Amino acid sequence: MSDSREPGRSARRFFLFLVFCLVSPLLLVALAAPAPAVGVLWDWANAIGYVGVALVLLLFFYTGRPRAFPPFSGRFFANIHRDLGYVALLLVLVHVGLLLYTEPLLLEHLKPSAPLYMLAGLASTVLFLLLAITSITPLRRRLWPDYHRFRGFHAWLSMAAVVLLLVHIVGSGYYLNTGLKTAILLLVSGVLLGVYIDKRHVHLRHDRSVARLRNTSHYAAALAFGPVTLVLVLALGLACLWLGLAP
Amino acid sequence: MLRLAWPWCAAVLVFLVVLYAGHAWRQQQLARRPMLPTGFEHIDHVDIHCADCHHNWLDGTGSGICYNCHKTDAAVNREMEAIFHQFCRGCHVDERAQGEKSGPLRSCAACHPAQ
Repeated sequence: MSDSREPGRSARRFFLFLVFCLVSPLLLVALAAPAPAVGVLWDWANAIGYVGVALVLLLFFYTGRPRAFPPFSGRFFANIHRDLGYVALLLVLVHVGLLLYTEPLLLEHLKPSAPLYMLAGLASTVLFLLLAITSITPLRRRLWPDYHRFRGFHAWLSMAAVVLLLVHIVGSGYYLNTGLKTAILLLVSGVLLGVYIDKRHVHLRHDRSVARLRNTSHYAAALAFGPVTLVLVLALGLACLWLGLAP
Repeated sequence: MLRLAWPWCAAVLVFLVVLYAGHAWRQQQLARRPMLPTGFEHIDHVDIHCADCHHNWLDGTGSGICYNCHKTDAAVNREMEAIFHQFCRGCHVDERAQGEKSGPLRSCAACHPAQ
């Protein structure tokens, strides 16, 4: 996988890979009988939510352990997991905040009498917050002196959060408006979670076959924020275009 | 083995009890929930057949306006919001998807204006 010893080239390839991953859910909802445009802010807030979903699913692939691609140092993978996680949480909060700003009456859908898929979304947001807070190193060390116990808690809580997130997306169903789109999302999520569970329990060995580039951990922050910013700007343009084409 | 398993069993049991209590409480909240004011104009819906909305004229399930049954009948009042949202927004989305002008798709305030 490591076809180049130049970190910049690997970083660019990883950047493009992330852009592809983040654009994928937007393509899924925009292609093949897309739902009609609602409004720029509403559609953009939901695009932010979908990009957040892609990030959350990516966290099950880049779990903090070194992978073959990109051939960066082990520290990079810990950093990219942390930074992608923070960006994902930020997007989830912006998704909620922007929708509430656009439609304040949505507060009704955060009360106990709200539809179950909305309560699932709320519960998954709370779990994401909990996951982020309990991962802050000083607090984590205080709560779990044994790192493996923390990892177990973090893994199971993450999976619960993703299941609730999927209930929220499928239940709200406006953009995921065909059975095929829903099936694709559930299949991709199921495969990622399945591979993650398998890797966690079956072989946790460090992949030593890759010649890693040293001093590359600093790429993580730029590679977490850069692609997300680019995709969100594209999504805003797409939302404007979509509304412009509406009757 | 048994010593290891009991905290997990207790946790699952507590979780199930909380889930059940939460469900029961939510059902109460659903029945008691006040209705949001709804701005509905018949004049905007004259292209739709009366019985598409006033199904009670055909199936004899009640009389008067929609809310008479959908809010007061315990058999359906918990699903009232889901039924009306699906019914109204579904029709609006279908119309818009066919390239026609339609009512609001997701804008809460467009159907539920502040009093």
